[in-house]
Amino acid sequence: MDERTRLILSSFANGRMPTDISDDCEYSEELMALSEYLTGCYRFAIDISNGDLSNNYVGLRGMLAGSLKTLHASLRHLTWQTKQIAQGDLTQRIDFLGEFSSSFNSMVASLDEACTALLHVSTHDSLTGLYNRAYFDAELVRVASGRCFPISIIVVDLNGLKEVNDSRGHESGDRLIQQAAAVLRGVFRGDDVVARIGGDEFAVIMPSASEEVVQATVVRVQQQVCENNSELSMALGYAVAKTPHELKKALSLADEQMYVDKRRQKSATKSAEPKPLGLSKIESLQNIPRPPRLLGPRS
Amino acid sequence: METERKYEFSWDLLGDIEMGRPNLGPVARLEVYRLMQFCFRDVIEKAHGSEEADRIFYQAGYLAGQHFYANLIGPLQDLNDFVAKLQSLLKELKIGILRIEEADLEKGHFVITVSEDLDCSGLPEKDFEFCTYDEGFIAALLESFTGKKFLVKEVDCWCTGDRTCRFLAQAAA
Repeated sequence: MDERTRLILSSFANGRMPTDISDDCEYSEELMALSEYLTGCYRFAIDISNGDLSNNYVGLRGMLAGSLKTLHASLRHLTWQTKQIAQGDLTQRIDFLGEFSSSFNSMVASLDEACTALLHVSTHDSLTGLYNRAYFDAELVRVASGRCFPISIIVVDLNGLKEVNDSRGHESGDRLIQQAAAVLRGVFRGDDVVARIGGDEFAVIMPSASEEVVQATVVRVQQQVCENNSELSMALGYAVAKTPHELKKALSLADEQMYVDKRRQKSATKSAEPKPLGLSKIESLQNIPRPPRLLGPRS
Repeated sequence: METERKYEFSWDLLGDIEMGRPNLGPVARLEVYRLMQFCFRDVIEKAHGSEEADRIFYQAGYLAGQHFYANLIGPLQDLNDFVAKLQSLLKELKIGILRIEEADLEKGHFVITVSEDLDCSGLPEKDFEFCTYDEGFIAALLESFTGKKFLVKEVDCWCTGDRTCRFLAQAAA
């Protein structure tokens, strides 16, 4: 073998890239091709080790380059997954890089749990577990752009909370609020949005609920209140929106109707004294006034 | 006038495997799948040439991708849901391990890799990319999801020495 060729091969064998391959040495063409290939792989490896994943050396083939491409593909996928996580997609999990993957996946799982907990806190009322005012308002906007009309709105006010708070303390008042929440939670459908929107005030969005449906639901609430062996008492009002434009008006109309019902209950209680305070039970609630019709097409 | 079709594909042609193979079940060795596919390819190439064979395989993959999306994936609106469902299905059905390198829905540009690919992983090295069927399959999946026509090209393949298949997908202008 040509001595120059032997020295070049020796350089390769020792992990060095020969600097000069003469055209006239034995196997010069093959040696140059080998040098070019190894240089390509070396540059690829350097890029990866420097964190530069922009070039994937498409033209570089063979098993050595292939292994680098696999690493490159995995790192690019990891980069994409991390971007997805940064954008809020916490379903991403990594399946390579051994211990790093399990630690990374634990971190994402913890982040997911924390986000879920925060989301729950930001959308729920801590005392009752019902949705809160912020969620209710957001849902009202969301359903307005949906196709689930008619939408019924119910407003509920807890009677006598102030008296209970003043006479027996806030713990008793809190228990009364929780009882009301339990009644409401038990009556409404899974898709209904039942929220505590104020201290003693609740509101419900019922998608795809006609006047008949909402009336039947109100009667069920009344029955549940009646069966509840406590001083629980509520005033209720409702309204039905048939179009998105009527939704806001329906909420204020339901609120007005709730006050009409409250006044009616008070006067009924006065005339029937010495009934106990609480305006309670079904006989006073059954005749909740029907709300006046909203603007829009009449059925 | 259209010629009456004898072999038009429909999903029900896959048959009731549970009833038909109570003892052997739905799983067969990968070699059997490859034997059939590569023999098809051989015969089609002999009859129609390499270019036409590739075109036919791309079209077959495309048809499979359309039915796969319609029957097992869609309809979906969210890209993350689509990717997650596709990844999980490809893994569950042992088609391959899908990874995303780039996904730009607005520009209609995707870079996708598939490791342990059903068609090519472990094959002897060749001078060309092998997964023409996969190209068509991916094109149809992306088209079904986005509603845009896609052209998919494999740029790295086990058969060219890589250990993962990389596909560039670009929506037609």
